[in-house]
Amino acid sequence: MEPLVEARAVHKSYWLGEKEIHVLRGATFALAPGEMASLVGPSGVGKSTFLHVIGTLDPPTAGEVLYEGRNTFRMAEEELATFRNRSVGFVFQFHYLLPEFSALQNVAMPGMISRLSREQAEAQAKEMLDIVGLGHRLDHKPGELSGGEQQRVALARALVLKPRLLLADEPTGNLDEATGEGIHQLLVELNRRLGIAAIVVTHNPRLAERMPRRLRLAEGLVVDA
Amino acid sequence: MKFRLRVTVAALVLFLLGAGLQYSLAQWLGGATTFSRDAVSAISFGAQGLWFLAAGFALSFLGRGYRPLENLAASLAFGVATFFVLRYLKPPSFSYDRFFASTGELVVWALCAAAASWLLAMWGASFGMLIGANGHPDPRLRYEWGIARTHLRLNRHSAKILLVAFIVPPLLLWWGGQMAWSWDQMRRANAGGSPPTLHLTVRQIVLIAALVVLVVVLVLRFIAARARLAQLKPGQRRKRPATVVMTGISIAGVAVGVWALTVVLSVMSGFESDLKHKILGTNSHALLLKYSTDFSEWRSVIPKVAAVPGVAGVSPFILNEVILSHGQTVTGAELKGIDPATAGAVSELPRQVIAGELRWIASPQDIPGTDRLVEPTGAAAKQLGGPEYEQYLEDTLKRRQSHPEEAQKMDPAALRNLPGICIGKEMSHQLRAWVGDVVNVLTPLGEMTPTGPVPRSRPFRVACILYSGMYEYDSKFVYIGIPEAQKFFRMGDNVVGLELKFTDVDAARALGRRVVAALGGFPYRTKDWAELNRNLFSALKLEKLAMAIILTFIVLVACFNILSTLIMLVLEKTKEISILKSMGARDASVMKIFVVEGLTIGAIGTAMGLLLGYATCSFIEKFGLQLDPDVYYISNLPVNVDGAQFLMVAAISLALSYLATLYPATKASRLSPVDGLREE
Repeated sequence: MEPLVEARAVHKSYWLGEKEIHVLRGATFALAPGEMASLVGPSGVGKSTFLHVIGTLDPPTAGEVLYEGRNTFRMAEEELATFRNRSVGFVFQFHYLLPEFSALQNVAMPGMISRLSREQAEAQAKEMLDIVGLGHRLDHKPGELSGGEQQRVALARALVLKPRLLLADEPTGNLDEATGEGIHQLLVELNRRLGIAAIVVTHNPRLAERMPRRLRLAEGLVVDA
Repeated sequence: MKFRLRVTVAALVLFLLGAGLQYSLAQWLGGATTFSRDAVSAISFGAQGLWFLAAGFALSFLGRGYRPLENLAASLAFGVATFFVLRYLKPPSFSYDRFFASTGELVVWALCAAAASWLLAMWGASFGMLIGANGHPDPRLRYEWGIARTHLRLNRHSAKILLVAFIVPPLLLWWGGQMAWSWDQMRRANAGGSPPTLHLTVRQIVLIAALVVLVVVLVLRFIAARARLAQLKPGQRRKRPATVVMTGISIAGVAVGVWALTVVLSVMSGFESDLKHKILGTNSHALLLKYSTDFSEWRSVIPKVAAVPGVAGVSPFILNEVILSHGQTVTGAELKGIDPATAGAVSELPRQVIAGELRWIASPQDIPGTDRLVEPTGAAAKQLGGPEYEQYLEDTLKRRQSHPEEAQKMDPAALRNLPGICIGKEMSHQLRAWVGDVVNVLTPLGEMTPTGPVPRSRPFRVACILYSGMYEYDSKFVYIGIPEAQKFFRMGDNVVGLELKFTDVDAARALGRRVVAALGGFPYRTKDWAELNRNLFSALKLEKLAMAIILTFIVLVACFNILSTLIMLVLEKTKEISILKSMGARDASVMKIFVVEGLTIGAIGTAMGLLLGYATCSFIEKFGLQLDPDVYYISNLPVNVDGAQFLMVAAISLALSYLATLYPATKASRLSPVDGLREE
């Protein structure tokens, strides 16, 4: 079976003044469609960078990332934007919702970006907010929602255009244990219901344990734990 | 490499086409239309500028991006080409000591051409980038506008504040001005008398009461809001980012700049149109002259000229310098022989009469004698009214009663048959001559006698007093009938030329050429009013241009405000930009967000400035700012509210605002998605 996303010998380094810091040193891995994996590793090891490279937010220094067999970093700016819009969803540790917009408008944003009409985008957003269990809080602004609700809205926003890949960077890192548990359950359920492949970065070993596949990032390489 | 070369060549070809367009358009307009030379160059260079913009726009699609280097190369090549073409064409020089432009001037021209083509092409390319020239064009900006609105905090609340800011300052300006004006009027009316008392109508009292209530309510609401804020704990207060304050300051900056620009330009063009009105009141639109002293066929020329389309009036004239004397006073003057029946068709002369009648110069028997004083009449006389003028008339009457000798030297019948002469108001003051007085006109072109040349002189009777509003004209020009002038200067049945009036003043030059062509060309020629008063109008135009440039700098500075506000906003919203990009927002969309923001700031500021400018101008127009009439010869500051001028100011201000957005917007669009995500 062809993998959904594949990283081939991905190198990534930053320059910190005169010093070159190698974060990824030839990370190689593949994820099948619908597969769900957790990614663990100590702080500062480059988990976020790996996620950004996979999600095309950050180009690798060397190596390539293939999505359904296509090299993502060969795409033109516009194609790349469409790819981010349609094919991947991001959830970050902080919800990063736009504070001036309501939950509904925030979730409708990817649809608006892909130039759907407002009605269409909001209908899809409403549907997705129902799925994450926030159908009753459509018109609340992020500031009026609890931390768990905010993260659910962020999740709905990542998934509203039905991407095939979800990249979650410590989605529960900022939440208390019970709320984090809820988000995790939601992730697993969405994976089952919508068939979305996901990589979830987490510090919580208990949550990581429950994933069908467990990855570990160490010394710039991704290995199955 | 080949691709970049192709883009460069394409740019060069487009630039050259633009220059060709300008040249051929200027040639065609000059030949086929009646536009003035300024209008022709404005239209043709405007078209060239638009062409360059369009070329840059097209190039951004061809080159898939801004392509600054390729554009620069093409612009330099274009500059070099311009230099050689200009050297071949030999344009006229700006300097007075040479006819054709020198090499140095050509180099400056070529550099200007290169710089203009580069800047305009880059500007045009920015439009291309905005709608996504490097991929699929997408001019929509639905969600971009939504996000820009949140950045600017444009919501119902701020819309209310904006509305107040739109309405209140112009109203205050108007009201304060009106108050000051009526206070001043009261003070003048009661000069030296008892202290002025206020007389208020019921409506005014109601208005003032409403205003007081409004102010009290607003102040109370403000205090209440502050009190509520003070009770909140620090964490509960919504922080207002610095960019919101900066946005307000930017709007105010643009508004002030636009305000100053509109008011000053309106006053300048008020002066210009006042001057034009006065000059064209006394002078015709053009003179038809002949390269010969013999113009005896003028009677047959008049119908031919009148038949030319665009000619509204024709009248013959004679012009010569003379000396005028009355009693002991002597003054130099320009004596103009006119036909009183047709003079009104080419100038405002009949309407400038403030005492007597213009037609009396042809029928001197009707001029009243010195035994009675002709009172000033007409609209011009009303303007002149006032204690000083009444004093002058009183003095005239007393003088006549105490020195009746002038009238008694001649027998009454001969006196009544003396030809009439019309003089200006200032000359009437200088000579102390009023309607009915006898003045002597003396020409140095006299007879030869055995003792040498003797000047010739003739007595005339003052038929009317004229007031044009131009000191120069009122103190210098005197008018007599054509037959009298011919007799006086011994010209036979000759005139100096014909005065022409056209249907369109601004087309005077081209219509003049048409008249000459209709008469068969040489020896006829025309001189239009702009040519006859070139110094005055070119000085005025230069002054206006200088003012416009200086004041545009105010708007420019205001646009730097927009620039820094947007840079701050980009820094503040880096995270948001990253999130939007991770959701798939295109670079062009991010650029659009910030361009729209800058343009909104510019548009709001411009609208406010225009409103303030309009309020100021109409205030000046209605109530007037008084000037010292002895210095300016105008009693009120003139303003000319010209819609086209307001539109031009708005266009300049919006164009500058747009330019100010380009740097921050491009910067924002090039941010990488991880730039804002890494910071946490």
